[in-house]
Amino acid sequence: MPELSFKEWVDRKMEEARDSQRGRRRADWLRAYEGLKEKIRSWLREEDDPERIPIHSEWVQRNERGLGTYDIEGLRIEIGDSSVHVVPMGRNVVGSVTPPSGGEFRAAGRVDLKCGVRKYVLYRTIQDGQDVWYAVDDERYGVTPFTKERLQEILMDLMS
Amino acid sequence: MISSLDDAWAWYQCVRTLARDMDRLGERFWNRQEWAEALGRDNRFRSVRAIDLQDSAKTISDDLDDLAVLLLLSVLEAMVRDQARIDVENSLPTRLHPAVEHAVEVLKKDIGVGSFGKVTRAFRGIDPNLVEEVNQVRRYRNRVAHGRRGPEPDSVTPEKAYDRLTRFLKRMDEVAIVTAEGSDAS
Repeated sequence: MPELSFKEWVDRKMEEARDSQRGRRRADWLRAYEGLKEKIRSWLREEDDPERIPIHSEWVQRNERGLGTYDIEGLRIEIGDSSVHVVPMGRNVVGSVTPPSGGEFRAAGRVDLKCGVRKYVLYRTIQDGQDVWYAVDDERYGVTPFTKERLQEILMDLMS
Repeated sequence: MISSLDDAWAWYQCVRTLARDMDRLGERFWNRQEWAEALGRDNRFRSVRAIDLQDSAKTISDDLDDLAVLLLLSVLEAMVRDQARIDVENSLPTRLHPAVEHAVEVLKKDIGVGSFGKVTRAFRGIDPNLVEEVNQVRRYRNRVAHGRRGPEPDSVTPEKAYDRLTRFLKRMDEVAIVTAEGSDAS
């Protein structure tokens, strides 16, 4: 007879994964991205009827050094007959972000907002233990804090 | 012809702009009634549909950023290898012991075709952080060049790659100037 049931064994494996450095790093990234996704959803819900702006899931698989292989949910935001894809590119990013307000922050995650051939890049930074996201315009490389108003501007720009 | 980082960056921006313009042309203008007659008279354009333009633009854009990083790093690699070879040649006396001459030939071969990581490693003593920044771009380039297999390295945009590689090249030039001034003084 095995000492553990299958369920207990799965629980233990899950706990081991969470406790490993790789597991912690991955969990941290997934939590941060989940926060961003939730913000995007709620900002859009606050502004309009969810039926007029449907948001669909688009799962992607990533395989990053120090995080391993994982599945992560991207989004497709539909407005009229246009759509913008929210694509989580990864936790590991080269470079830093220099916001107009000053300072330089190491990027700790990247999410692309794509529509056809155009895109904006969202960079996650960690400031005083909090996730702070910035949007970078892919043509002029302007950096702005990622806010509800900025999301609206980006969607209007990409879909116009 | 692309022979510098600035050339490579300009090429990337031109291709990106063209792809985006073609996409916009397809999306907004191609199907306009007032364009139909003129396009219909053109041997090339009469068979091109708006969706063809947009599909082509998307195909280009999907891989363009990665190819730009690959191009930028390749240009830097060629420049660094050339400069390193010249620096080695200039730093040697005219007459060499045959054993040293052989060692120098091996070194020059390494600089020319050996691992680029080894070449950049030689600059670690000058600016280890910058060398590591270039190595991050190199690792990303290697994955793109080898079919994107295995774990993804740190994500690199062309803009970040251009910034890092330009700073590296500038630093190399500064070192070369200081070295040359030192040789002149002695």
